[in-house]
Amino acid sequence: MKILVYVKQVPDTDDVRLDPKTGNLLREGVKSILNPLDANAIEAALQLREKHGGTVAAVCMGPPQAEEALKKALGMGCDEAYLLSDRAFGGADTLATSYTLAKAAEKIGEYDLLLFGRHAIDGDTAQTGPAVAAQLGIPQITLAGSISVEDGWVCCDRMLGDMRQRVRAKLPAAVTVCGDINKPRYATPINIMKASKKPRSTWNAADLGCEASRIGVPGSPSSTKGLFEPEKHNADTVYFTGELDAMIKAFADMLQSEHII
Amino acid sequence: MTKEDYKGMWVFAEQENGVIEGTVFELLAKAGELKAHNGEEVIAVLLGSGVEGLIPSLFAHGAEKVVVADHPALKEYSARPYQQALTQLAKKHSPSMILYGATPLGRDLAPRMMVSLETGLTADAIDLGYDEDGTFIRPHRLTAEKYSHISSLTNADLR
Repeated sequence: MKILVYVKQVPDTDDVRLDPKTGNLLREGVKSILNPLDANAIEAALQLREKHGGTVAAVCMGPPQAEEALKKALGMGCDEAYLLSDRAFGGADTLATSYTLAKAAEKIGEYDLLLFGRHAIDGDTAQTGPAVAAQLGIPQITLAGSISVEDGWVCCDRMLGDMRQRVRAKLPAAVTVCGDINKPRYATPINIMKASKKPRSTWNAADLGCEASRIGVPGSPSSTKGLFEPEKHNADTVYFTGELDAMIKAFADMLQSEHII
Repeated sequence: MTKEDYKGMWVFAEQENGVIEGTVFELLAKAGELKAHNGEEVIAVLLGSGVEGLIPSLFAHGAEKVVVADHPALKEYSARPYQQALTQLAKKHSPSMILYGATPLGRDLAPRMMVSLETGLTADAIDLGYDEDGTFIRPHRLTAEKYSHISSLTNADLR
């Protein structure tokens, strides 16, 4: 079985602050990490490989430094890594991103299963997995809390708040996983050493055969206009003092003047 | 087709087992507010099997028109049949926007619709409106409520 795990490098959101003057994200000194739920997707892929054999490839779109996320994936035990990196990919919304990621799947070829973290902690759209599935015209299972593969089908329990829903999809398929699906393993020193010998490829837009109008800013119908911090609402507290009757009357008067009664 | 050719605000009328999801009514109300700005019709789009009984409640909550796709294949939600049916309807009627509740089902379906219609899609909108240039904007909330941002569509919802 050939599994592709899509991973993303994200800023550590515990560290994210806004510049109070400009409203821009302060990125300096903010460290980058592997998107936490992507580690769950890697773990799920490795467990399936242990059970059924095959290979696990990690795929990441990002600037050259996103290599770090792939190193972590290889250190956890993935067999090979693909970095999709090109200045022309910059500014992509989820539509352009899903197109680019789908092109990579087509180039790698003969995949059985695509795995994603349910969402990335920076953009938090949870759109990429389903959108890539749609680009490839394959079925999807979102919000997977468990995963198994039998006879050409992937079976999952979907976590729907107060209930679990058992579903299956015919392979090839895409699955987005929740955090409670497993506990990701650590990258061991021996695996980290092995990682440097594993095959790694870097592909740009031309390598993938992307149409220029469908990637990066030209391929993105949506764009960010600005950032702002949520307004804080401070509720005023009104204290009533004095005799009970007087307090009740003052309270009733207030309700009346606010047209509540 | 240009941006002006896309008319009508669609609300995806999510239902399960004959019960309409609560956010559908909120979206109908919001579309009603947007009508003051764009003058477009508020249209509910209902997919399912044997769902005609749900139509009156959509009108009662502000839909001016209800588009229904009633077919046995749509009885239980499944991403691809729903995507196919809704895409056919959207390509035929060319709405200016489609609003979905950020429910598990809405989040499953909307990204696929984004791909079939080649549109923008904003997740977790906490408000909808227009800016000074008449561009449709959707502030939305991000993780941990640390910061929010406004996404603005450059090409309207459909292109």
